[in-house]
Amino acid sequence: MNLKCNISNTDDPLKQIQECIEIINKIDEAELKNGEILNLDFSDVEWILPCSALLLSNKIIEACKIMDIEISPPKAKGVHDYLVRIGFPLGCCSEGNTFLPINHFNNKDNVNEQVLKISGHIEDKIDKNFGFSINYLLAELSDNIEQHSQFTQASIMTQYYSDKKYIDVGIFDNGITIPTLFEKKGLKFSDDCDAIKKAIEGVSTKEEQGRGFGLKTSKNLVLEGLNGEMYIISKKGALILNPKNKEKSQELMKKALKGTLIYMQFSAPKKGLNIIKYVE
Amino acid sequence: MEKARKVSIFDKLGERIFTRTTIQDFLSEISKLKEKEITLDFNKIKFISRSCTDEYLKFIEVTKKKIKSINQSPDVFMMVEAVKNGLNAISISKASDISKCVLCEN
Repeated sequence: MNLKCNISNTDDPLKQIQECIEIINKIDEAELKNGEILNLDFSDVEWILPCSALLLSNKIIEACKIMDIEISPPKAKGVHDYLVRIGFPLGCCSEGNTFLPINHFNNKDNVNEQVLKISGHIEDKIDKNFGFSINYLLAELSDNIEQHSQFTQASIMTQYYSDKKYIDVGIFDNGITIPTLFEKKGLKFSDDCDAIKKAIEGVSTKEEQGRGFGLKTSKNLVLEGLNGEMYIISKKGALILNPKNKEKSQELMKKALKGTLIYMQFSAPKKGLNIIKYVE
Repeated sequence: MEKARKVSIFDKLGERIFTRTTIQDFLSEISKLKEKEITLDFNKIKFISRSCTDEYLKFIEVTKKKIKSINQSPDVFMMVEAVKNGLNAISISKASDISKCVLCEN
């Protein structure tokens, strides 16, 4: 069975993410006959953002457990080479000078060890002015995955553009999503975007003191400390946060993402960043 | 009485501590030690996350053991202080709320 994977040639993460959700849903709906292989046809893809590669690779690695999958790579050499470099879709052990390949881990893995590995690899590659910011974001966001998401498969990747001292960090888990978790815990929200907004304001599903700071402080660090952009997509909610538009741009997507994606883009600060200012 | 014991966090967890589960497991092991006085050695610890610091401070507060920490790098020390201050702020604000309620009832 052939599944044409259409991804627009755009730099708009949200547009590509919505297209990836379409592809993910089609993979879920694929009805294969005995012995049939699902061919994911990426041949016409001319541009793929790290967040899209992350989402699709997470789905493919999960789907591989129950079906045989083949991939028709993009004809565009640049995109093809990029996907090979980042280890799409299964992840890889080798790393480049400016990027860390997709790293997958499941709920049976030691999350701390996985993040330790990623953090150790990226630290030497990036500008020193980032300080411990990448460690902080990886720590808080992966801890959220472990503590709340009930995931089976999670994926992390980073891409550093050394000439611009610019970095993309993406973290995705295929767990129960922020809105569903809120619903289960009886926390009120008007729609999926509202649930995400509440989560970044510090509303926690854990009752004990000192909880609910992970996403909130990560947002503060990215927006205020690193002057960066943050996309949080969970179920149908999509929140785009950037320093210029603190009012938050939000969108209810047509199709729900089965999981939570946090995608951040930011440049190295001009001076060394002290993350403590953003810790509460 | 058992003597004090020094435990190297680096030896158990490596140079960076990221997730609550990891430090919870480690602190649970500390709880099981026979010694009543434990010195946690932070030597070579480069980074501790906010979440782990929160768990560590909560543990210190409730454990019956006497915990002493040594060799915290400036970065680790600042994280501990920042989270400690945050926890204090929460305690104060909760205490204020309670006192307001008591005053209302009276």
